[in-house]
Amino acid sequence: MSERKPFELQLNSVTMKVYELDIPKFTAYRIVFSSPRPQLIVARARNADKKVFWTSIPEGRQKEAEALGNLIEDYLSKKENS
Amino acid sequence: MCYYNGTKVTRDEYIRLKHLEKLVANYQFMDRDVINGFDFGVTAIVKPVEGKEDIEIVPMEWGFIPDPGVWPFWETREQVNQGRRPHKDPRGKFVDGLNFLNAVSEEIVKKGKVYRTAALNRRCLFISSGYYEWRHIFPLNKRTGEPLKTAKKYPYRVGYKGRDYFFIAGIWQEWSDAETGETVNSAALTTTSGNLVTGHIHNSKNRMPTMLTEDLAWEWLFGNLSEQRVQEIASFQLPWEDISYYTLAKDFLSSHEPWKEHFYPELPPLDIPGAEAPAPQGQMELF
Repeated sequence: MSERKPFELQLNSVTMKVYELDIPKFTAYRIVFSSPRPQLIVARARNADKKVFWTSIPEGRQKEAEALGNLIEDYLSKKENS
Repeated sequence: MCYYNGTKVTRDEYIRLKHLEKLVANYQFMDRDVINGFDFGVTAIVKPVEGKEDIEIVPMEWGFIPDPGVWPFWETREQVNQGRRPHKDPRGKFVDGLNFLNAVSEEIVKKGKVYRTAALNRRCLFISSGYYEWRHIFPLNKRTGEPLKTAKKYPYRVGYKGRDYFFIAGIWQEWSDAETGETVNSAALTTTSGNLVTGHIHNSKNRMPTMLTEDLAWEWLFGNLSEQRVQEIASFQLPWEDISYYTLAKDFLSSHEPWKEHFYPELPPLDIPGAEAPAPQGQMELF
């Protein structure tokens, strides 16, 4: 398991460094905050209806995972289209 | 069906995510810029493979949890969590926590001490690329010229000159929660008196972690050591000439780059006879 070069996202006054984790068969990111908030790992998963959702790894920070996972997705799709 | 983070997922997906948890946990303990002891999180520990002259690197909780049979008789995780932090005792008196992060080398094998059995039988090494300590400077009162009572604290990063990683002597202990059966390996690092450099930096306590040379690290792990030798190695003081150090920004703990050097113009250099203070990086680049 390794990490790719990070990209940066900004939310309000907090800068986040986002590292893509290179793990076969998983899409997961490690987020390091410029604030004292502990780092967070988010991963794409599928719910029982086969719909994709973002989850924190380990469990416990679901709301953050959803919000930041979507932010990462927006960033990547804009980058792809630019 | 199972639930992960409150979302209904299939059993297959649940197992997949649990597998990811494991991969990530094993990775994260090796990849932390700063480990704050007071978080009681996991850290990378080198310990001997049982029955072999070989090592393994394993995650352990930093903050020694003593055997439940000895003082302070922690039998459950709840007791550990409460006991580690400042709390009210059964009589309602406010008491300091027993964090067991650091084992004072001078007393490590003393009979009756909590670390004795581990020091004699379960020695390990903490892997570090540098540790952090605060130097206390008491500014002078502008009117009286006397030092003020409250110190200004300047953080330093301290390392082993010429080495990216080094070893700190440690001891470890297996502990099980009497209620849940959870088994945890926990460790404490040993400390010794500060040398000329580290003593000046940690000038409030004059202590430093027991940073070991490669030979001593190997002996600490695999040597058939007498009590006296355990005591000697635990008290080993790396010569000050082998110490590298520089100052950090005061908010380094929440920084993206906690290792980044920061220069304080008002901070006097360490008072080390015959040694030149290392110039901050920014200044070096000017010449």
